[in-house]
Amino acid sequence: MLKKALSLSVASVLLASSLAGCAKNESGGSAAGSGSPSGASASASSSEAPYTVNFAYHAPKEGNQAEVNELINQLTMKDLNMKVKLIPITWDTYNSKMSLMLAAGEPIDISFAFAFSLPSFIDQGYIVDASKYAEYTKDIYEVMGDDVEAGHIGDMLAGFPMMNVRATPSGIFVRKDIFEALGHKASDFTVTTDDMSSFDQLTKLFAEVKAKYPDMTPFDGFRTFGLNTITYVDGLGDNFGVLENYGQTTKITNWYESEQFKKFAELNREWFTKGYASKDIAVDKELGQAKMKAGKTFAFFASYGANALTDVKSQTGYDTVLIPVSSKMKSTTAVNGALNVVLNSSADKAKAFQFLNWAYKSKEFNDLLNWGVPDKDWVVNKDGQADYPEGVTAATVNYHSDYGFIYPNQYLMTPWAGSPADIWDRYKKFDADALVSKAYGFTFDSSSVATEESQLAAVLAKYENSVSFGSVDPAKMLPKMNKELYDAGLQEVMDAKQKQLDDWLAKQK
Amino acid sequence: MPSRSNDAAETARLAAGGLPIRREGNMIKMRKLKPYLPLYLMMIPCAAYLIVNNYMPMVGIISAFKSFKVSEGIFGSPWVGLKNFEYLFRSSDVATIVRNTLLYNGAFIIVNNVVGIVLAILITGIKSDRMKKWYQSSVLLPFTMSMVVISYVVFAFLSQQNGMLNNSLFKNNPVEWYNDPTWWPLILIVVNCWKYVGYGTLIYIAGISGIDRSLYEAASIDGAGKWKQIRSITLPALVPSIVTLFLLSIGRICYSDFGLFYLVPQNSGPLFDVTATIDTYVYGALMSPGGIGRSAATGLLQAVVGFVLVLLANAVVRRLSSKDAIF
Repeated sequence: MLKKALSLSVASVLLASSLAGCAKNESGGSAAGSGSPSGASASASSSEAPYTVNFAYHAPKEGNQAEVNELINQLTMKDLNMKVKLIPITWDTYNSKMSLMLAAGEPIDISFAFAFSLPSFIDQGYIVDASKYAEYTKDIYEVMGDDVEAGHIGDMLAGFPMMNVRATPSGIFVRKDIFEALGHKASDFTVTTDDMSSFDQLTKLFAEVKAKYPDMTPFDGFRTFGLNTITYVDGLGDNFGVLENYGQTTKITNWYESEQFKKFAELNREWFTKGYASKDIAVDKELGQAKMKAGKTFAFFASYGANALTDVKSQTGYDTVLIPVSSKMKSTTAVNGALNVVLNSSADKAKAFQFLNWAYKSKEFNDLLNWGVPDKDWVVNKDGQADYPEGVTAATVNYHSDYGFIYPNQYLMTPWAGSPADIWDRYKKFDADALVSKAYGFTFDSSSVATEESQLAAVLAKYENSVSFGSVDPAKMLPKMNKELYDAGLQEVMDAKQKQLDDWLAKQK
Repeated sequence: MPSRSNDAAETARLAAGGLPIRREGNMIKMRKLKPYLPLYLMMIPCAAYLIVNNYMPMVGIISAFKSFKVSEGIFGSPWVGLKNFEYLFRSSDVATIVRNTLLYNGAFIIVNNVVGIVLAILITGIKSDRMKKWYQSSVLLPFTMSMVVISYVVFAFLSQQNGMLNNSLFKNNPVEWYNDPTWWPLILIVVNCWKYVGYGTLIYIAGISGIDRSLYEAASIDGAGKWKQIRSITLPALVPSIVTLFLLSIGRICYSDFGLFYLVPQNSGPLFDVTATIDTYVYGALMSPGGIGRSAATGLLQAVVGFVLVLLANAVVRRLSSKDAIF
């Protein structure tokens, strides 16, 4: 009898606990983001229950945005009677996490999305056509002006570009202390794509570093010339068929067959075989900024804006010298490289657009995302610029992103200490003298060649990193790569692209 | 226990002249079920889990035949017939990824089982109980580790810049581990074995512990040495466990451990010829347009082939020795 009672009670406990599990799951959705009772109480009296916007954004690292989230909630409750749940995504997890979260149908309202993933997201119906909600986003149109047009893909407005610097030239950042100890000045270096042999200056520099500082890795980080198509060519949304020479042509060609790509691959190959580049450079996915911060890296490759040296200092903790290695180009990809998109998984799309509209004009919001909690992660110094509070350094700060360009409106942010007083004006000027791609404003709609694109992406995944970083011999692998690209349908994609571009060009006249 | 007392109570009731209850057939069935009621109750949570987690999503199989759009839902999306399957077979890599998946899984099944049995025999042979526990736990430890962690452990060995191997054993002629596919079949098999062998070992240890000790005593009296004992007593007694584990792994032969093939080789392109499997390939496809339908199509194909293989393998086992077959 006792046994029976026991077994029954065990069974009922199990049953109850499993039901409890269900109940918990159900409430999980609505309870999300409720970790801020204090923020909620502020205007809980208003008639409507506050809507919670799930906002996927680029976070410095996961797990330390609770306080930032809290402060944002206070802002949004006051201005919009909404709450926000920040969903952190980092550069290196974007590729894996984003598509899986979308596929799993997680209730994300707004996310940033890189241009290369947009065709896929649109094809699968994840993205809401923003032009249908234009009444809620008037301020964005005002802030962005014509640049809103860059958000058009096919016949839909996929999202809104970030308000930031448009031209993305690239450069090599080198440690200033070592650079000067070797007796160099930045003005000694003129590296330009007009004369590809000018890149050998870098090779010489790395050779000196290698000889004098055998402990240092002269070149490291997960970016390099051949990968950074956004700097050198107009890829029109993907890299399969590009406009070479900074988009100063209207003929679509294959970037991976170009003389320039080959030269870049050979240059990286030389650095790799001579030990100037890390032997792990093609597999270790950490960015150069992080590598330099660790103290053993002399130089890395990166795109830069008008305020690059201050940014890099705050990201790495080292003073650096910038050696530009490209001209400046303004292409559609540079404008819509990252868009804020509203997703179909949003429970209330009008509310999501309202929030997004607010995000483009709230200075506090943009500051919070980029610099973290005021008075804890940053303070406003006597020049009116942001700086670490006393006792806090790049190594100890809790929340510090400094990727202003990936948030809605960089031009509203408090500039970091050491920036020029008129930094945002300089940014706007920085764009003014950029080469404008002939296809500026055009975005390729790849839905007709979706199968080819996925095959091409598979080929690229196989070769792109190793060839670009020189961990394999380009003389052998480059022809193989191109052959596989053509086998996978590169020509079809290029033809489709050329046709769409020609139609678009004809309409512009 | 309760069953017997219930039956007794019923018999007593009938004997005392109580009316036999109508619809006896049902009643008997109920009576037969009743003793198991607590067991059924206990099964409910697991059954609910299986139904919710494993059976209900099966409806999603139809997305293998659709061009999936989130905005229109699974049922609203347009049908495309077998187009999603085409993609897999049109790819030039299909032969490679199918070959890799099948061969690796075959190798894993053989290596893990052989090593698992050897370890189990060795561990059960240890006299000290404490040492036995210690070895058992240490073999199982890697099983509890995430592949992400393991991928960094492997990277610590193989890193071309700071790695342990290139700075010690291979100091004079360093190997470009992440560029050179030669070694990877071996590396993957070793890593897989290191991680998963503990699980099988545990099952085999349980199997060996269940063997009647008197058999060994009798054998040693008859002059059988250790080797002979293993061959004639231990191994035959383990056959049911071996068959069960074998059938379980056969069902998953078309699947691959994504973490092992994607994270451990650091997703390095030059290694794809020996590290790309169906799952890593599908993962890549998931990123591109139409990915959902294609992944669903591949998943369906993997499941169907796995199902057929299990049936076939079980049929073969049943023919060879019917008592060892699972069903």
